[in-house]
Amino acid sequence: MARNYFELFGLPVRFDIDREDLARRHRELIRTWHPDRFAQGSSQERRLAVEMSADLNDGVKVLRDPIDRARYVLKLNGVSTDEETDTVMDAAFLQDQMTWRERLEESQGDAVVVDGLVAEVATLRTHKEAALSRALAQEAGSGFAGARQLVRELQFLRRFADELDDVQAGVS
Amino acid sequence: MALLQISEPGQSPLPHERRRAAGIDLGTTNSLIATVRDGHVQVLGDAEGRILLPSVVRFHADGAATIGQAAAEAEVSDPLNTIASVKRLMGRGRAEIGASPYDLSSTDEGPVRLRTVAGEKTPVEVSAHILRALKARAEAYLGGELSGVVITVPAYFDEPQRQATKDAARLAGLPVLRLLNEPTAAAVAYGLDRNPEGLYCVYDLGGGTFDVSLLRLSQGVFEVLATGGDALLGGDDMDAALVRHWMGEGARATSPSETRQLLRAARHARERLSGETEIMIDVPGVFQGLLNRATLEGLIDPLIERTLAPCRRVLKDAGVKVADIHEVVLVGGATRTPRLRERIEGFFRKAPLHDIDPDQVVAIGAARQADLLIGNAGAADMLLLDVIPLSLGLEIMGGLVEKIIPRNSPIPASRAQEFTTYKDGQTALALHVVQGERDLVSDCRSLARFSLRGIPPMVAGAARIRVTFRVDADGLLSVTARELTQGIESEITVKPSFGLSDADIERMLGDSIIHASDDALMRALREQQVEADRMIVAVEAAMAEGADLLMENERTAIERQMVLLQSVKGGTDPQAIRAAIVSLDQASADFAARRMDAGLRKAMTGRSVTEFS
Repeated sequence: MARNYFELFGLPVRFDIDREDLARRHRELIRTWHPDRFAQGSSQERRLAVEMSADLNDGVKVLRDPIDRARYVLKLNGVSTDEETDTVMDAAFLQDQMTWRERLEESQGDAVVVDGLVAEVATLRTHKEAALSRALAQEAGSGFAGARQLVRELQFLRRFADELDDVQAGVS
Repeated sequence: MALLQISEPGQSPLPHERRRAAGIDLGTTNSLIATVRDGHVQVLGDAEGRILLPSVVRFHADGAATIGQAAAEAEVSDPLNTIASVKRLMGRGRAEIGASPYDLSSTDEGPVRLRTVAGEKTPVEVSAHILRALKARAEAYLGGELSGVVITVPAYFDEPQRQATKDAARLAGLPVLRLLNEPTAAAVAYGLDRNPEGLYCVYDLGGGTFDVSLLRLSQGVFEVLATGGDALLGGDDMDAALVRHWMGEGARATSPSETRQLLRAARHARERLSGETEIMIDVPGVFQGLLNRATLEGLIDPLIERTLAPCRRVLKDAGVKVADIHEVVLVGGATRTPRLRERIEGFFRKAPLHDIDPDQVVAIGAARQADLLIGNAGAADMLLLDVIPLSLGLEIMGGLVEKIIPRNSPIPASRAQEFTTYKDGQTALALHVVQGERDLVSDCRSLARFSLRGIPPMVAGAARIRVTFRVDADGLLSVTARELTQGIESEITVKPSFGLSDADIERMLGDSIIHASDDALMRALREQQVEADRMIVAVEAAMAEGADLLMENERTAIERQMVLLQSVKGGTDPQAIRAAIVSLDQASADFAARRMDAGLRKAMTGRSVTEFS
């Protein structure tokens, strides 16, 4: 029984989402469907409650995260991001990545440089997410090529942001 | 209670309908049982009023067992038949255990076995003795059989350790409502009286294990954000460090009894040494000398430091800063150490709470949760949302681990991942389920192996095999594998490599001398009758309320199975009742699932966003 996560939370299938509203909906539903609410129920009810709660927990995780949510919207449209096999990236994007990595290496953990990089990456991620939202809304008839590309780029950016996080944790 | 018939707040059952429930802290060193009566938690003592039951079991040649204080007194005189700290052996195989004071059977198959005068005993059997002793206390106090218990486990317990704990309860004849993580139980004990909001950190250092959990409390929901710990670090290690130091200073412990005296002196010393800068240690005939604060700190600080690493990781996993934490709660006897409190305060920049007895706080929280789950607490609108402590994954090519459910995922959890074949014409796929954070299979805990067979021969990479991991609210895992092109399915509930099979448990139930008087068949029959009644009530209510969702042929099938179950449930064969329950379950499962989805849609439509606040 595969539930559509947007339907699960009573939301339209749309990339743009109010995360606080999603969290409230999740909390409301899990309060009702958690297996502890059926501790005195039949084994069937307990099993169904476990399945429902597991879907609610997985659903909120997927929908909360912009990259997972975009992949999920694409999947519902029958489109795979093929991130393992399709690794073609935009040349300019790759060039930016290399420049950033050089700056990070040369900084030797210098807080000012790292903080600057963190801010740049954050800004770019915000822009890319906005572009992704537009692409998902507009490319329905044309195969979502732009959206797929943006998902891959955002995945790159997230990994780099995580590395910067680690460096920051090390210097502070 | 039928689906969608959730009792309204304030509808607490009448006193005569109250069911007997208890919370059990099954500890490494001591165990406790508590229950709620008239809204108040009572921690139960033995005939002499002693609350802590030493987690020690002594086996005798006639097969009988002594439990608790009396057993602990024989630890020195009868060391091989007197088993202490069995919790450290739960869910473990022989090869995973290093040096042991006990006579361990050399077999590598299944759980480790201890050789005693009463024969070979598994840790599950030893724990079951402790649970039976606690059960007897509660039943004497409550005046009848327990209908359900909540048993606590360290949050950092892995799957086999949890399963072993549940098996022990089954062997002791205790219906388990839920396994509850110890720090979560402690948070409940603190939380319910104060009705707090905000972030709570529970620091739990017991005799043998360390747990730290970060919880967000809001409107009665206790949500664990992250948990971490060290399953092999406890207050015992601090005592051992002190004793090693004294041995270096000329202490002479030539017998187990003398070592024990030194360990006791060590615990007293670390609990005493705070205000004073120096104390006298005097273990007659073994050691005499002065211990000053600096020396103590030099010895135990490295161990305290080891508890801070999981604290940092938990903060990072939850994305929380020290300054965001509302309160820090201390749990476990080892947190009585003043130096430890000092260091915790330094780390969290906040004086920790310890006003509930750190030995009792876990059992108190467990009793509260048991009271709620059994249906007595009615009005308490409390919900505990916990997480898995360690990532669950599968072995992939090259001895690497593919994580399917990462640590700190909320439970219940369900995750599916697709795999494919790597050879042309491959017809079977071996799956190896592991738990742990490392990338290499060899560095993780092996949980189970199973195979999916009958995959139609295809070129490499063409088969699509979906493996689904499901974790229930107790943190227990089941795994299914399905080949998607042909729909071939294989399912296992992970019975860990070092666990007991159902057949083992049945045999132990049959063998057990304690059960000679207490008819295992009668109990099995009663369990199935209770389940049959629950099932009938639930399905009848569902059919009355959800007639519009019911197809005619479905109704006929359900009614037929219902009649069958009604007719067998009054009989004496638990297997026949079980079979009829399963048939009714199968006949009604799709209908029940549809009702659930309809209920969900009803809950989520026609409501404005603001209603969810």
